[in-house]
Amino acid sequence: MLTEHDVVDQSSKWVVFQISDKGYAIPIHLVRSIERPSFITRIPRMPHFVTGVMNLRGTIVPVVDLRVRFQVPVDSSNDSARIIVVHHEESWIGLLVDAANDIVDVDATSIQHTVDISSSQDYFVKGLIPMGANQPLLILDLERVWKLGEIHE
Amino acid sequence: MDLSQYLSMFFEESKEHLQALNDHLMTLEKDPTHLQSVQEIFRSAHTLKGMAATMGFNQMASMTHKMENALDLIRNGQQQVTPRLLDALFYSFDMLEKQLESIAESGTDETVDVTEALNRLHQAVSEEIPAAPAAAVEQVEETIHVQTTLHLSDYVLEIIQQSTHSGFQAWDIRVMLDASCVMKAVRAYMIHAELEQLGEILHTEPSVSEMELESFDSDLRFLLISQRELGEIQNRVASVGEVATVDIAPFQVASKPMVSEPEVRSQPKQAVEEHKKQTPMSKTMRVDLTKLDQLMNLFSEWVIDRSRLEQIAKEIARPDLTETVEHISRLGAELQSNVMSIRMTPVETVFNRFPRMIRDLSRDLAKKVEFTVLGAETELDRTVIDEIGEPLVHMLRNALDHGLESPAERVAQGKPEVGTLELKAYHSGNRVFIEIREDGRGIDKAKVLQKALEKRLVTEVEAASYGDEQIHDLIFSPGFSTAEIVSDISGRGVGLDVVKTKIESLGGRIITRSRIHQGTTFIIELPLTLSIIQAMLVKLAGTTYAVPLSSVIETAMVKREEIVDIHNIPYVSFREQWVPFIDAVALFEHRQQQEVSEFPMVIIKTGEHTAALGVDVLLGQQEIVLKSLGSYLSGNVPGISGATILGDGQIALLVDTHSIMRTGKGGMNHAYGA
Repeated sequence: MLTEHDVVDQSSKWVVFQISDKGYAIPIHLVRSIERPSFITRIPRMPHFVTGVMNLRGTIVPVVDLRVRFQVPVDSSNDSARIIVVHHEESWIGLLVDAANDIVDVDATSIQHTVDISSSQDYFVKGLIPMGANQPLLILDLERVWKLGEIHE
Repeated sequence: MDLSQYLSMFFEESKEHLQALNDHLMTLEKDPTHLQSVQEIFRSAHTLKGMAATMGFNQMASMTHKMENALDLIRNGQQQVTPRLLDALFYSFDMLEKQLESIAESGTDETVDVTEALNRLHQAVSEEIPAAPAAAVEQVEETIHVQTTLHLSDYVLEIIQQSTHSGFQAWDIRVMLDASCVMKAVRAYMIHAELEQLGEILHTEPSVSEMELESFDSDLRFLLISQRELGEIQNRVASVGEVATVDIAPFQVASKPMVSEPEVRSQPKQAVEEHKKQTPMSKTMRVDLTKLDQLMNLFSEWVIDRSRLEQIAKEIARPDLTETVEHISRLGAELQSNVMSIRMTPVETVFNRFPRMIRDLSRDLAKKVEFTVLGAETELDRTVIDEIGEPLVHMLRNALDHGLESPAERVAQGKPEVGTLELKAYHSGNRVFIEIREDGRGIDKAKVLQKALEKRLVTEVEAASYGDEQIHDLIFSPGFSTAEIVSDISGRGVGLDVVKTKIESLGGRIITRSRIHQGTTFIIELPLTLSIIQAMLVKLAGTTYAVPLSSVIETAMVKREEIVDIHNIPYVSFREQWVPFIDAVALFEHRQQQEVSEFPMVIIKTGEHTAALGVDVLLGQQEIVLKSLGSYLSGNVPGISGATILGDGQIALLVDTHSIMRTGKGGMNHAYGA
């Protein structure tokens, strides 16, 4: 199986997305598609960040709201919000973000792995992509992001 | 040559032959004089050898070759069928299975050590046979080893040589299809089928898969081994339409030193003929399972759109539209039964491993049993088939271990020494039944009750009121281990409750019939299919949920004041019986509780548990297509077992009546309380 590290080593194209004021990146081969949010059916008795399930052209896709997960304010009137559909085992998970608007080429050697981070949001970050003078893009540890049952609110 | 594309075909066919081999070994063990079985085992071993050699799995090829040699000696009357030889053959069979697994995992058969199997075979054979033929056997093996590393044709040549010496003729058949022939693949297939009835096709040009893909001009060439006359073959091929010319010539192999004994075998030939007569050709083709799944998925989409269309037609209420939609619905029903029937698989695929399992198990347990399988051809949806294997293994083991007595015990009771165990499958209506019947000691109701009381599964008062059925059902209770009642041989940690849970999760149930000292019958009732089900749609605070209709008894209205707390668990009276009341709205976190003073409830029943499910609105029943929640959520959402997409594209969650019932029984507020 492909581990997260393999991914970091090989990938050169990354999808860039926004949550609140921060920029994040995800290897493009993990991404299946980027969708506009449609009606999401709530799933009972699940952690709040599991928003529910959506009907993606006949397939039922669970949606994880990264803004809830990272405890940043959710602006529901935000028109640029997107769902990034990523592969999960044999099926998919949708990641609800504030915006997803760019694809960048990244030199694998420039990626920095992060260590010793204390704040709750950075718990999910496992690396950085320096962007010159701009803020670096954050690389998420997706397994931690969507893990059920660890940090139940 | 890259053979990877043939690998799946190789697996598929190898499995079939291994199964045949196993079946006939079992028959042979029962009746060591049954030469037909020897012949069948030989054929399977032979085909396996051919396929393994072609694919370059030399270990497997040499293994089957050894088996073939031993079997050849038997059918020539040079070797008796001894228990030792049978064990060696069974052992070799196990090794072949291992090799196949190893090939599936690592792509090579080298990881399985077959020395032991080869030794056993060798010893079992050489125990009676003088040294000379054994030496000949070794010699054949040598040549095989050389040949498998070469091309297929060498291998085929060897077969031709062997069979011409046994009175068969190899024919080189060239067929030219009519230039105007439109469906060449179909014609090629028909010719292939015709020839297959006449003998064994060793080689084709183009290859069979190329024929299927129609990647050839109009020339076909077959190499056939047959005992039929040239004229007959000619006529049979010509009987297929759109054939321009048929050219048949005897195929000669440039003479090579023969290694096997050049003795004409009359017996096997007859057996081959018999076999050919017994198995009429049914026109089938292999289809990739993923394609079937795709078809099913597409059909599911279609069902969803159909419901939508029906809804729209109802709203618009234009007669011609309504009529057309009705027609589409009728066609859909037919289409559905057709799609379903394609996905149907005979239970045989699960049953056929049991005879061997029972054989081995009865040896381990020192029990004598006559095991019969009936109705193996009964068909079930593949989704169900995939799931029932384990529960059945469990129940069969249980029957053998705890149901049947030891031979001594049976004799002492005046029963025949050999017990009977019967596995029977049959259809009835829209359900499939699988019965496991044995004539063992039966369930001792007094002991079961005593044990249930000890384990505090029932109270004295309850116990007194229990009828046979309820007592029998106790053995399926969690924490009730039958092992301690009758024996403790198998030492398994799991009880029959696991089996029951599994069967119920498939929408089925288990019925128990038992008489002390006379035996026990377990009847497993299963739905034909899992993917399209009837459901009752309900609304909870504006969200639609589906309840499987198989668990719904009826619906009723209830007033708030009719719900009574008994020991902190809400109950409601339904048909003069108090049943637990589950407020679905609170259960699924929509609100604290029902707000109106009167609301509908759905009475659900799974197994012997009944409960009332309070909802906001009843929407009525509908056929729904089950969809998975995806790998992320599947099995992780309490009380929800799946979902479906409704006609308007909205998702409705499917209520898992079994799990809400379990939590509902006493622990409702713990697990789900608001």
